[in-house]
Amino acid sequence: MRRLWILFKTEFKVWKHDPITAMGGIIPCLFILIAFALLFGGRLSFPIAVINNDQGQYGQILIDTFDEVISPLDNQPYYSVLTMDEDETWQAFQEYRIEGIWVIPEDFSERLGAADEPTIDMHFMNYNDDRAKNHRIYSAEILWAFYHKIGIDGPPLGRAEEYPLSEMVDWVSIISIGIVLLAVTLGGIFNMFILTYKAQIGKITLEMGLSPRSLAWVLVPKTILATLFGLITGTLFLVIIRVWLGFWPGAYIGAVWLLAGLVALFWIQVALVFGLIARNYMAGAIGSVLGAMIIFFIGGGLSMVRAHQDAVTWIAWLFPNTYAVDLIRDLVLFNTWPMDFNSVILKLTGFAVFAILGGSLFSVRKLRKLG
Amino acid sequence: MKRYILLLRSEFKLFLTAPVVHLIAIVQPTLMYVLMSIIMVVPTFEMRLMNPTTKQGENLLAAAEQVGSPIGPDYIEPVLVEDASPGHRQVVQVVEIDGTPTALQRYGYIDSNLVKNLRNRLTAALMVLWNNELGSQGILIQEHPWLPQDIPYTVYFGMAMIPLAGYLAAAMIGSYLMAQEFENGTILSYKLCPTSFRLILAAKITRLVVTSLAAAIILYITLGLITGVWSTSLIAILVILLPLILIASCIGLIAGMLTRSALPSFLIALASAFAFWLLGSGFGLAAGFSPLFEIISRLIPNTPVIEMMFPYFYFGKKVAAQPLLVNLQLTAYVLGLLIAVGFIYKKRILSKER
Repeated sequence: MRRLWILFKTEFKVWKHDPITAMGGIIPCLFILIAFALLFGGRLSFPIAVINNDQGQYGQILIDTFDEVISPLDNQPYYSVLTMDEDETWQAFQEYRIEGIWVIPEDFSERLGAADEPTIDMHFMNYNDDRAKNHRIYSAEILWAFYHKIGIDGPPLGRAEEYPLSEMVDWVSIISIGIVLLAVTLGGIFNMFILTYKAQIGKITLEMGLSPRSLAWVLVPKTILATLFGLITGTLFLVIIRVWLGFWPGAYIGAVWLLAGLVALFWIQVALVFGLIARNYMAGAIGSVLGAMIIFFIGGGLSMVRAHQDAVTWIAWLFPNTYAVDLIRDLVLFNTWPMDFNSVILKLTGFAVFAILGGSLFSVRKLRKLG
Repeated sequence: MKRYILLLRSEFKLFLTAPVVHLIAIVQPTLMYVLMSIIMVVPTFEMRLMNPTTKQGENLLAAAEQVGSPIGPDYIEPVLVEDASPGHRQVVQVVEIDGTPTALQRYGYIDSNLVKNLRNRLTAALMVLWNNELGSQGILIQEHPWLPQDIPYTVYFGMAMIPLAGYLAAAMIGSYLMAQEFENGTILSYKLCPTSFRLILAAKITRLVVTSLAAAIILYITLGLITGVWSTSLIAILVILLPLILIASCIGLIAGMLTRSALPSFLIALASAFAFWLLGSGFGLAAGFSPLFEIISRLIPNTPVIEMMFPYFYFGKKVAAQPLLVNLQLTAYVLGLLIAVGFIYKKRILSKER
């Protein structure tokens, strides 16, 4: 145990010489967090213009309705109706400075009153099918509210909703937890990398290869230290999220660390193996970091895995992040104990054990062979 | 010229010192695009509906199947279930509330974006029923889409990743190789070199530009093969990319010279590449997001580049309102960074103090 402690302290001293490594998990994740917050955290109403040629009252009532129909996404109206003259409106639409134009014909009120097939023209952006879809289904929300507002005979089926919490969890928060896990992963990878990189450029790998003792004495302190730094990086992001978005795991923090720590263990071993395969730790680290970024994007970093299981590719299931991310969301965002906690812990342990065994065996073999 | 070609050749030979880094930097965005195109957001959503036992339930199911684009896919894929529990997503059940038949949507622990999407789809289905009942009193929305067909999101996403591919390759390889010169001590040869530093930097940047264009072309071909959509001119796309690649090359070289260490310079290249991608219209044209986002996005070089590339993929439709201003902006970035690279090169490499 004393030997382990001495080696651990030695590794820590090595790390202290290059503390910039700690930024490896922080800088990319901070940039990504800020970028996504700017992307999806602001007001997301579609800017449109309405050309109201209606001679009656319903056209104006419809325009007033736009402001009253609120999207759960950002608690803002689906549409933000801009005021501009007609020529400018068409010009703005052609240059994509607005999302769409609704044209209310002059006989709209008359036809609506007479039940004579009233129409509205909706010009809208469809450069991607997701935006086109939004226009189509947002227009249904507007009409739904408009019909209620003007007192048309009620719908054959009403609409009601039940949400399990008093307040809805927003999308940026969902993404932020994906970033916490990415931070743990990158923090672990970068710190493992710097510890082995230092050993390589200091030619200590040769001494390691010739060591009469088990190389576990070398690898265990590195792994523990890298895992610790990964968890510290992740915790820093949890604090950022607490301050910024207001979510904190509270008593569940230990469970969060356990889940994230098991994920980090997997990636730390991957970083070690890649570094040795490439015979160049930097290339290995770059490969692992970019690999982790890809897994962040495809493995539930941007949305809940459980709610989009059909969209998760089989490759994502080969990595522990995909299993762990929703559980961390349960603990941090929903403050609820995940139903599948035990089964996921077993899977993550399996990933970690497999990675440690495979990674250690491979690393020991490489070090003994190459030094 | 002969000296420049010799320098260029030696720059290309540097590939042999870091083949894995080159491979990763060139191929990573393409790999990411391939994987993300599989899971890319699609308009068709699974919606869990309780197996209908009443006429209203059957009507709702029929209406749900009608919700979709007349020139694209359906928006609802109903999944019939027997359990009224929302599970991890949601479920719709027709119930009586205060004597009124109502489609009750119960959500699981999901986020506001998913709630929005599910709510909108249910409303659209209910509106089909309501309009059917209203008959000639129901309002018909006549659709006039901007383009003749709804373009899959994978096309835009891939197009917006082409600048990322170009940027990442230039910034990462530039920063890594520059830092390596310091770490390996070969920087001394630059210091002692009798050739003009401008010629050396020109060779370095030219080499990065060629490598980055290769990365961009690989992604461009992959995008075409996956979506079947090709730009009307590849040459135009590459020309448009040039300023961004020059910017990335300069940022990479500056990072390498300032940090003199592979790891932090890699971090700068990585973080700037992904931040520029995300903020620079990577997920959609800047005008489609919040006003604050649009302002920030327009400062990022990716946004004007994407807006200039747009017409070549989208039936010639132009979205850049101020082309002259955009060109001036990119030119200013490039010139500013080229001057900065020369200045830092002199300070960090040629200075006698070092």
